[in-house]
Order: sequence, then C-alpha cells, then structure tokens
Amino acid sequence: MMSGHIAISIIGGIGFGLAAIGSYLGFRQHVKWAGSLLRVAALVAIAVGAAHLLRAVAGLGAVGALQNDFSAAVLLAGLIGLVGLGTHFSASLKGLDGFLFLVAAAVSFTGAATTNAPRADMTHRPWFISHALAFSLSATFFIAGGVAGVAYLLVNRMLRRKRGTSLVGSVAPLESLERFGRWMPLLGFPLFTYGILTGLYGVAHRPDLSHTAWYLDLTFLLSAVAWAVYAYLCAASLRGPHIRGRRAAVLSTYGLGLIVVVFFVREFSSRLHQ
Amino acid sequence: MRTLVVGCNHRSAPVEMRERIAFDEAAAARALAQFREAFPAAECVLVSTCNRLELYVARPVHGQPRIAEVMEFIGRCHGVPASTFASGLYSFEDVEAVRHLFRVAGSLDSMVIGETQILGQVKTAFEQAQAAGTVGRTLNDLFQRAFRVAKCVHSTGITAGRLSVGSTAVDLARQIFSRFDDKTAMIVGAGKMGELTLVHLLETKPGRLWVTNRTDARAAELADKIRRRHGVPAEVVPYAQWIDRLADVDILISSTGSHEPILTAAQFKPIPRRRGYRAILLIDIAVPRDIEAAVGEDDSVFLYNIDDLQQVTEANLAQRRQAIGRAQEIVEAEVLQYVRTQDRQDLGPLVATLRRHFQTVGDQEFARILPKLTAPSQRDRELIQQMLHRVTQKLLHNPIHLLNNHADNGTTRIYADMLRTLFDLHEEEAKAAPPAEQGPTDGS
Repeated sequence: MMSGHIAISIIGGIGFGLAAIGSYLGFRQHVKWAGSLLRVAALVAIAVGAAHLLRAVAGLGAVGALQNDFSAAVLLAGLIGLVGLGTHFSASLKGLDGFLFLVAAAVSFTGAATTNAPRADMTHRPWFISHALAFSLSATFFIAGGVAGVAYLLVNRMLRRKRGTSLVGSVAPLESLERFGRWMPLLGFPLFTYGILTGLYGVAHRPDLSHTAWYLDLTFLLSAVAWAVYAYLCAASLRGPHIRGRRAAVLSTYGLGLIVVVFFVREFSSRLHQ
Repeated sequence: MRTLVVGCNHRSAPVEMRERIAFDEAAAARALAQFREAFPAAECVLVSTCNRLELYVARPVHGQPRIAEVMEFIGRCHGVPASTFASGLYSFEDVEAVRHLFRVAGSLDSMVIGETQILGQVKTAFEQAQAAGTVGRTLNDLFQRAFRVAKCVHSTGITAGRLSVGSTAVDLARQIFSRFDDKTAMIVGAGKMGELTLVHLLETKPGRLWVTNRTDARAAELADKIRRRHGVPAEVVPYAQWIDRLADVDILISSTGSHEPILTAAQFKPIPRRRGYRAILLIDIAVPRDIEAAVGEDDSVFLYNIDDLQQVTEANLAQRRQAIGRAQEIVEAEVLQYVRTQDRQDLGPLVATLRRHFQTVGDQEFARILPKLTAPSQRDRELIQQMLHRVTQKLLHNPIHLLNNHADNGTTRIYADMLRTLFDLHEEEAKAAPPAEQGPTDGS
C-alpha cells in the first residue's frame, strides 16, 4: 500500500512539476509545445489522483477515504491542479498557473510522507465528509488567493524597480491578480468556517477528547488564527477599501503561509485527527 | 543552385536612393513577372520595406543572373541606369547571402534590433513570390529555414520590451490594468512629447479621455486634433479643476512647461482615499518634473518620470544586446547546417559530370588505339573497356570520397570548385544541368 502511495505521490508531483515547467517555458521562452506539455502533464496528475480517490472511496467508503491523510493530500493537490488548469485557460491570469502547479506538486510530494497513524472512529459520522471537503475546498481557494498575492507582489516589485519590462505581457496585470486574489478568500471563507464548525461538532462527540484540553491542539489554534486573518481580509475587501492592492496581497500571502503551516501540522502532529 | 542577394538598407543607402528603387506591391508583382521572363531558370524573392530593398536570387551554378545582371534588372524595373544607385547597393553570394537572410528575418539587421515587423514583411514577400511563380525548391528551402531561424532568434529575448518612451508607458499601463474601456486617461499640458505619449496610449482605447492645459484654447486645440486624427472623443477639463478630477483618473500623462511641480504630495494626499485606493499610473515626462516624487510613495500610485521611462527602455535595450550574442550563435549554426545540406544536394550533378568526363576521356583513348590493334576479338575489346572503367573508378574514388567527407565540415564548395577548374567541368556541367524547378510551392 505504501509503495502505491509513493508512486501516486511521485506521479502527481512530477506531473504538476512538469506542468509548472511547461508554464515557465510557455510564458518566458515562448516554446511552442509548452502548452501541450502543461495540459497533458497536469491532466495525467489529476487523473491519477482522481483514480486513487475513486478506488479509496470504493474500498473504504467516503468517510474512510477522506479520513486518510494521504487521500486528503491527493484531493487537495488535485483541486489546486484544477484551479491551475482553469487559470491556464484564462487570458487575464497568465503566468498564475505555473505558481499553482508548483504548489500542487509540493502538496503531492508531501502526500508520500504522510503517516498511517490510527484514526478516530468516524465511520458512522457522515458530517465528516462535508467537514473534510469544506476544508479541502477552502484550502484550495485560500492557496489560489495566496498565490495570486505572491504574483501580485512580484509584479508590483518589478514595476516599482523600474528595470525593464521584459516580464510585461508574460504575467497577468495587477488588476486581474488583485481581483482574483480578492474573490478567492471570499469563496473560501464560508467553507473554512463551516469546516471549523463541523470539526468542533466532531470533537464534542468524541468521548476520548472530552477530558482533554483539545482547544490547545496546534491545528485548532492555527486554524483559529487563520480564520481571524481571513475574516479580517474578507471584511476589509467587502467594507474597507483601504485593504487593496499591495496590502491585500501581503495579507493573502500571510494567509497562504498559515494554510501551509496548518496543512503540515494537521498531517504530522495533530491529535484531533488521530 | 547558387544563392545571391543584391540590395540596400538604411545603412548602405540614404532615403533618397531607397525611395528611387523601392517597389510597392503592384510594382513588385510586375518585377517578379519580368524576372521570370528574363531568367526562367532562376528563382527570386523581392523584399521591399521602408528600410530595405533586397532581391534574393537562386540561379543554376553556371546560369544567370549574376550580381551585375541583378543590379541592371533593378534599374530596368525603375527605368534608371544601375550606375545611379549601384554605390548604395550591397551584394552577397552563397554562405554570405544565406547568413544575411537569416539575420534579416531574425531582425539582427534591422534599424531597431529585435523588432518583429520584418519577419512578417519577409513572409509577405515570400508569399508574393510564390504566387508569382518565382520560388523553386532552393528559395523555398532557404526561406522556410529562415522563418524557423527567426523564431529561434526571437526566443533568445531579443524582442523583449519596447524601446520608445511612449510605447514603454503603454506596456506599463498594460501590466497594471487588465482592461481600459472602464478607465479614464488624462493629459496635462499640450506639449509635443505628451501628445506623442498619448498617441501611443490610445492603442489601449481608454473609456474616457480628458485634456487640460493652463490655456484652455490649447487644450481645446489638442482635443480637436485627437478627435480628427485618431477618431477618439476627448473632453476638455478646466485647468483649475484637474487635481479635483484626479479621483476619477486612472492614467495621467503630465507634460507641462511649469518650473514648479503642479502636483505636490500634499495636494495628492486625499486622492487615494477618494479613489478607493485603486491603482493609478502617473507618467511625468516634463522637465523640470511636474509631479513631486513623494506622490509615488503611496501603495496605489505608480509614478514614472522621464528618467524612469528611459531607464526602463535602457534596460530593455541592454537585455536585447545581451541576447544578440546568443542570436548570432543560432544564426551561425543554422547557416552552417543549411550550407551543408545545400552542398550535399549540389554534389550529385558534379560527381555525375566528373564520372562522365573521365568516361569520355577513356572512350576517346579507346577509340584512338582500337585501329592500331591487330584484329582484336570481342573479348579483347571488352577487357580493355573493363580495364578503362576500373582505372576511372579507382582514380575517382579518392576525390569523390573526399568531397563527401568534406560535406560535413563545410568546405565542400572549395573542393567542388577546385575540381571544376582542374578538369574544366564548367561547360559540361552547365550542359548537363536540368532546368530549375519552378512554380508555386505549398510553403510547408
């Protein structure tokens, strides 16, 4: 089983990595076949992940499959890859696909290192499915928003340094990046909130946690911090125009950092998920 | 086939001379038809742009036209003697001609190195020659290769960035804004430089265009000029109101003759808030500067003065210069590869002529000694003929082997010409040469 997981991780990681290389070759070197490489590599990686998930659901059931850290990583990588493919086909988000495929590749490779620690018994808790899906989707939106933030900061820096315009036209304009970066947290935040609430509900129904300080679990604490950051970002982008442009991009980037940390903590040291 | 090019460009001939021998589309079509009539065995592509006129010709090794004949042909097309413009012409043959075409198509020979327009112009000229039936196998191969080389050259980054202040400003605007139909552009001052930059900016088709100037009449004059020349409606904004209107402006071009800044940080301070912190591009091309540098410190402001824009264009130029070396390496490698292929193709007829030449000498000697032999039997005749054939084969084995080997290191042509001279094969080869393949090719 482990060697199968490693193979899926490596195929996914290499596929998304090649897609990122295809994106780079396309927008920097104008290589003709780069687009085909990107699409084929990304589709292969997504297809391998989807096949694994279907097999896991068929074998373990939806709850069992989603409870598995490896499957969660595969799902997240696939979702990020899908967003990457979407941005690849969008003329106004040029260059963003490469960043997203890189993140998808990293998530995919990380999947190989996940532990097969014993899981809490969730077999009879269908709400867990929505909890896991909500977290995966919200993480995808936050990561896409964070990547747009990073791209915004890079383009912004290039424009302010005033040293040549070689990148001009190769990467998306600031306005598009800002719009994309504003929408992603707005889509992800309700799902993230739902994920936390269902998580709390799950904790309340776990007798093994009733006499422990579960609220001090690092996953919970970091999720709460991330929730506060995104709550502020969403409120600011809806109500206060002062969080725009570079400031919004910086916040999205911090959010991305937090999500990455949450992901690793959840994968490797969370008691709530064991 | 031998390739040659005769022509002139912005370096070799002044504009007065270039315009005298330039071809428009109709004249080029007539010239190609005339060429086909005058030199039916040769191929020709005529490239005529504002900066260059070039005739690329492929002729049989011993056929016509030669360089002087091409010059006369150009003169004949324009009804002027070749001597009146010959001083401004250059000509290249064989490897040099191939190299020149690759450099031209890759824009290494252009006035602005890295401009991509020339590739389109060469393609159009090639297609016109195809339609006129003056492109055969040699020029088809050569031009298809040139288009591939141009693509490789462009991938070195030689076409990156733009080199004028106006077009650089447009590039910057395009990197900041994703659409322009909802944007407002404003020009402050009615100076020539500002107008030039604005004309570049009109490429983006901004939703609204405002013009302001200290003298309202000049602003109205500029607005009217823009409306007439570019078909873009421009609204005149009273000078006293322009700072107030900044809240609605997305792109500002400032080019006044003021000795003091017309927009200070203090005046600009409330603007970002009123704009909802949307990005604003300020292009200050006035000297002395119109906009205080501190205005650019706000996160939502992208302020470029004339030095910044020149710095950007310099950086673009430096990047292109860096790419030139790599581009030239690509051209040289492709020239060598093309010449090798071409040499291999030219080798076949030469080897056949050489064999025929030796065979003829053998046959002549055989015919000369035959009457002197006393009643040779049929068997004796066959043995003597076999011996002569073997001697010929053995004598030719080494030179032909050498020729084939040198096709790989690019010196075949020297050896081939040497053999032609040593054995006086020019006439024989010309007689044996089949007529050149003519007619339109599919360009694939």
